Amino acid sequence: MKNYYEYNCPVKVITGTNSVEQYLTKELVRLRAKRVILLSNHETSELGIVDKVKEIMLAKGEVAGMYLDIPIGGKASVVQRISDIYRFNNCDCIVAVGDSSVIDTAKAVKLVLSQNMKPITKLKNNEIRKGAFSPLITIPTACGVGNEVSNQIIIHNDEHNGQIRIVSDELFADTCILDSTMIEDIPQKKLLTYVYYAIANVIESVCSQKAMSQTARVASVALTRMFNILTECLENGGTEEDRRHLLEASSLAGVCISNNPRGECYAIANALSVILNVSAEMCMPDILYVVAKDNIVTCRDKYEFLLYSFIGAEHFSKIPADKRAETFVDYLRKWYEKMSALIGGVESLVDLGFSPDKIPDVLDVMTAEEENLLNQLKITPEYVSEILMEAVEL
Amino acid sequence: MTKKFYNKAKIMCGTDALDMISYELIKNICTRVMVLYDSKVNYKVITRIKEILAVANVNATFISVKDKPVATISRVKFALTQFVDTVSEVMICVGGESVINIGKAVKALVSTGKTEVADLKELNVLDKMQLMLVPTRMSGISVATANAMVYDKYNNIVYQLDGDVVNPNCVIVDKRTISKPKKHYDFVIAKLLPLGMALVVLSDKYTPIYAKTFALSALDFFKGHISDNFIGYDMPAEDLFMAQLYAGNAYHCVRDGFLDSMVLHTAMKTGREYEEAFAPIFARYLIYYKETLNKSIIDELGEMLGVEKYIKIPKENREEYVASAIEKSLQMLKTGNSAFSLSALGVNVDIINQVTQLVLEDMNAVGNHEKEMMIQKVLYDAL
Repeated sequence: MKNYYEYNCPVKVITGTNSVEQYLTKELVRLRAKRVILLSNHETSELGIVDKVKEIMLAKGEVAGMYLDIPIGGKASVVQRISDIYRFNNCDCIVAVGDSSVIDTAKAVKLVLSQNMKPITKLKNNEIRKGAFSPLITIPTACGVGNEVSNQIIIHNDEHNGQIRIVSDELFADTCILDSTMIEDIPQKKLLTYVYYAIANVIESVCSQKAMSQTARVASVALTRMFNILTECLENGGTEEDRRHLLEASSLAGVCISNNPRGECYAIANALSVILNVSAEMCMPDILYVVAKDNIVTCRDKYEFLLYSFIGAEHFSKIPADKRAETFVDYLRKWYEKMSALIGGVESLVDLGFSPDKIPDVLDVMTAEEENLLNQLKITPEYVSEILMEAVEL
Repeated sequence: MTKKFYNKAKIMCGTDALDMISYELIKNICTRVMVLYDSKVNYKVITRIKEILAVANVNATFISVKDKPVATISRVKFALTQFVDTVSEVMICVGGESVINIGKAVKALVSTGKTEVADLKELNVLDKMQLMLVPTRMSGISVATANAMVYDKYNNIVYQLDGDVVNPNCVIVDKRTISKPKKHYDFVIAKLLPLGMALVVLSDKYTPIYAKTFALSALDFFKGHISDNFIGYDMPAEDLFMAQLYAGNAYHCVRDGFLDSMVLHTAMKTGREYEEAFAPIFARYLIYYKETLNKSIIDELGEMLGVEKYIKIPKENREEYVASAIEKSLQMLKTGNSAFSLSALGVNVDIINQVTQLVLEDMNAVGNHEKEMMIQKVLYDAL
């Protein structure tokens, strides 16, 4: 037994086809919600998903407020605006429908409401206490990256152009509904980058020094399922059941990161997203490969464990013992390249507009806040620069 | 098909986990706590909890209850009255299964606003109090699940409380509070339970992914403590407890209806604890399950027996190797353990017939000859 570890996932997870239609109102009743604020973004609205969810909610209660303009990466000013709308309209529940930006923003709003409306920019990780109850239901529409069940957020502070990273049990949603019909129309490119982001999350959490055995196990189950099913989805279109399994597996990434805070990949990808104005998911693949390769020595056992889980004993037995970790990292990259080729290619960091001269901007974003990301993660600016330089050369 | 996973219990585990009580209380801004403890709990544990609560600066009331095997209606009522009278916000239960069940029942009553266990119906409601559990005995199966059992001994009724609100908020597993069973037989049973439950969960192809991770996590605790079978080797008490806790959570997600019903009705008919009836029935049930072991988990089970050794076994022999390890584990229970039978619990042929009928009615399967035969076979074998 290690000295100390925790497992915590207090979110009620409901999963299935049409589960939003079947369970959303039941959950609103359970949470005693009558005046809901509905949060989403343009993209989700345009797909007609927001209207569908709104219609379901109207059958049991009132949609007392809406905010459908949440930007990529979320913004502290938007969190404040939504919190004000919530209070002004006497709302009693938040329903977030969308991708990780929408869900992180909703979690930030829940936190602000619980901390007596103290602005998100002023909240410190170690000062957060249990506060007023504002129930939150998350409905991911982008094949989840685990945010829907995790206790962490990264929000862009548009005052300082920095990033606020908070880890707190107050950020847990109360219910998460994983409905495969919500990701029916997701473009393949997005599907790949989102699932790969979830893969990055599970690998980072396993490699965390604090990782407990259960995190590794959750990660191995999630990883195996994500690799197998995404391959099927991209090669043959995938079935309704495949999409449901994919949603479930990527939600497990949230369980992993809740119990072992995310590391450098997550932080760097999020900082890049601010500079390049694209989603963090788009920035992740190149960063993950470089960081994973860099960690081979320290994470050898963990990579071997993950490799065994998803290739099985037969293939595992054929790889020399001293090459297993390297094989895992290579597989990660080759699999991504293969999937990317299948769907006609996905932009690299350079394609997204990144060049070495933007490294100081990335570092500025990571260090702008008092509780800055480099200090929180105990990494140096030189390390981040090296990772980014290597990523550019891929 | 819609599936649900909900386990709000925060599991805090480690050599100093007990000390985290103060952190949780401070974070949740709690000022009044009631500690309900089993009179047989080591006084050092209670002394340590007193010190921790003093650090957290909370007003604590300590209530001791006699060590008894089950939570009864009267004991629940007593604890509820104390909790209400002391205007507490949090209940910390320290002890074995009965104290833990009392805590869960009190939480259900407080949160639903009821005063009688018999009136508890809809239990998927929001919490109105916090429940922290500090288990001290090797019975982790149902500690972190959303169910509890309360016995009405005057009317001979067992109330099964099952719902979100029954789930504890925190479970603290500290090396200092958990001890191994003294008898070898009890230790073997303690190991069989998580192993078997995990196998049942993993063998079900409809198992939700969350339950699968709990089941595999339970088996992970056996790693390093096993070689050619799953339960024949020593392991630290706290690891075994965690294996039980995770397996229990996994099992709770899928709950094999027939097995559950067989055990429950046998326990009720003999006036024994659920776990006492569980072991002998379960061992025989597992023999049937072994035949249908899901092939996709063979490698995962092989991993528990040691990856390097397992991968050297020729592919065609791996399934047999795992099956043999399960068989050897079950054999250990039979060797020199006359107590490992339902006869020792007072079960006879008459009771088996009654239980079979009750299970069939329970499972809405009256007249299903095949199921009737299966139930009777398992119970007769367990005699």
